[in-house]
Amino acid sequence: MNAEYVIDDDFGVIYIHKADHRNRAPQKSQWTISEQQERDCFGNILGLIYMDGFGSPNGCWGLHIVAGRLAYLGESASDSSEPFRALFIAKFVDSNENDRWHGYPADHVSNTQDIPTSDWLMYWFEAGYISQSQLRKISRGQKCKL
Amino acid sequence: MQVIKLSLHGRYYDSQIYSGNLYLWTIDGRIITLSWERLINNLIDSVPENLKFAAHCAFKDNQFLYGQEWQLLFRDSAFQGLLLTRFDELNKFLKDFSFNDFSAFVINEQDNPFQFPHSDTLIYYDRLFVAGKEGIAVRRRYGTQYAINDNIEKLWDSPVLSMAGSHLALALATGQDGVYEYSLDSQIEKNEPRNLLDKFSNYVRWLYPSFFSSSYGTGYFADFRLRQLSVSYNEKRQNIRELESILSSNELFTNTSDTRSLYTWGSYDKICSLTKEHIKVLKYTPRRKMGGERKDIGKLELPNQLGSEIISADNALFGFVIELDDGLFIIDSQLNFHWFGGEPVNWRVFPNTKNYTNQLHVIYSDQVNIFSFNDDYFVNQTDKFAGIDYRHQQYQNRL
Repeated sequence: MNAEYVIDDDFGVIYIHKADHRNRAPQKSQWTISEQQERDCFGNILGLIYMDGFGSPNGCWGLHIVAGRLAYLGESASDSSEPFRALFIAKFVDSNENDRWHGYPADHVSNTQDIPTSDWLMYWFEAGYISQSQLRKISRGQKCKL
Repeated sequence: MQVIKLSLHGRYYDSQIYSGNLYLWTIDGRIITLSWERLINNLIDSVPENLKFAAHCAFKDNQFLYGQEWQLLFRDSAFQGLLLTRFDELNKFLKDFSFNDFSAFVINEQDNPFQFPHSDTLIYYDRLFVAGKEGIAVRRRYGTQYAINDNIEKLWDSPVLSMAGSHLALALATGQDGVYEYSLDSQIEKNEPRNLLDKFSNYVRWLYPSFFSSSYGTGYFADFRLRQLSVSYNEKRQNIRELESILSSNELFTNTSDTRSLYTWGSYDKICSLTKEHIKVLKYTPRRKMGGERKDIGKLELPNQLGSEIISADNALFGFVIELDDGLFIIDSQLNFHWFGGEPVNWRVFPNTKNYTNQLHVIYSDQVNIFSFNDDYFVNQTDKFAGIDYRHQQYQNRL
């Protein structure tokens, strides 16, 4: 069962927790943060999406920030070439473009579609969340530690 | 011998050097075109008379010392010794030399018209290519000063992680979609990339007509042969590339008693496999009528177990460069080990250039370090274990 939450009344935004990203489905990356933290990760970028025009329904990206610092939020799928690699980027999509979003831990190494677009990367860099090295490694689909 | 280093202060993301110019992508969205020729001439003017030749070879024209005309002279150990001494003296003279202000050598500074941050850049066939999440764009160099114009052309829309140029084509690593080839042949009306390998690829390099695709899992070697098209007497000869076989890194490096390979890569004449304890190398020689010959040329034990994760690796004439989580590990062609600690922002080697094959550019958060390696001139290229055979480099760069 995919639990649903109203994230923002003004924009009518719903967030859906996808069970297969928490139930050890072998082909799916898995969240390692709580559902509340997952919603916060999305909630923190609502303004960027709905007011600043960042991203698109096909791809918006979020980070898990703890005490002002970037933290891991998930791990790669167990049947990927490198199972259980720690992940720190979340991807959010609104597939039907009806303000019903869901998300998952993005594996930028295994899937080029999970590499955030340049506006998100530069926003995070300028905000001090990612370094110049991380900027390059994410853009090249290379392994990247925090 | 110590590696000679020059630094340029600033916050950069990427660098390219080509035909007398240094191109620097700044982190705040500009491209600086610098006359490397004039900057090094200025440097050469400032060094003592007896170091000018070493400075010229170290930074401006390293091909000079590979020339056949010098081979006889190099067999004279006294001459070798003198040259090595001069490089060492130059290194001491330039110790930590850095350009805080190089504005006098700037040809052009402009807003970056390409996507940023990009995944890769390449100067090939007199064009600058920039790849990334948004595909590939190209800009021809122009004018007498060779700055980069704003008029850029989009070639492809799909994400590209790495690219390499040879045979009038780009090899493109596209992640889960594998390796594509984009022809630059102007005689082809519509250049649509064609898929050459459907295995995951995040790094690609040419080995003559063939290529090697690296990933954090299995690497793949696509072995092509060149076939000459039959043409009439007065027509230009034309070669086409035909796929002979695709071999996985497990098939290439078959000794199962070894510890697991962490990363495999290849370019020009060397294919490498790295484990925590050693590096194994195959030498590749293309053959016209069949697939290329791959010869096991042995393995080298590493000084310490590799403790951190491998990010990427590449071949240069001066040796192998391996990026780890926390720095760059270099095995030079005289089998010396070098460690440049600290996570780099970016790094590059330039085996496809004429005069800068001895350079390694390493960008850190506040500067770009340009390292010059000067040992390879004295290495027997036939027996060379680490690094590209100079003669093969010369051959491939003509293709």
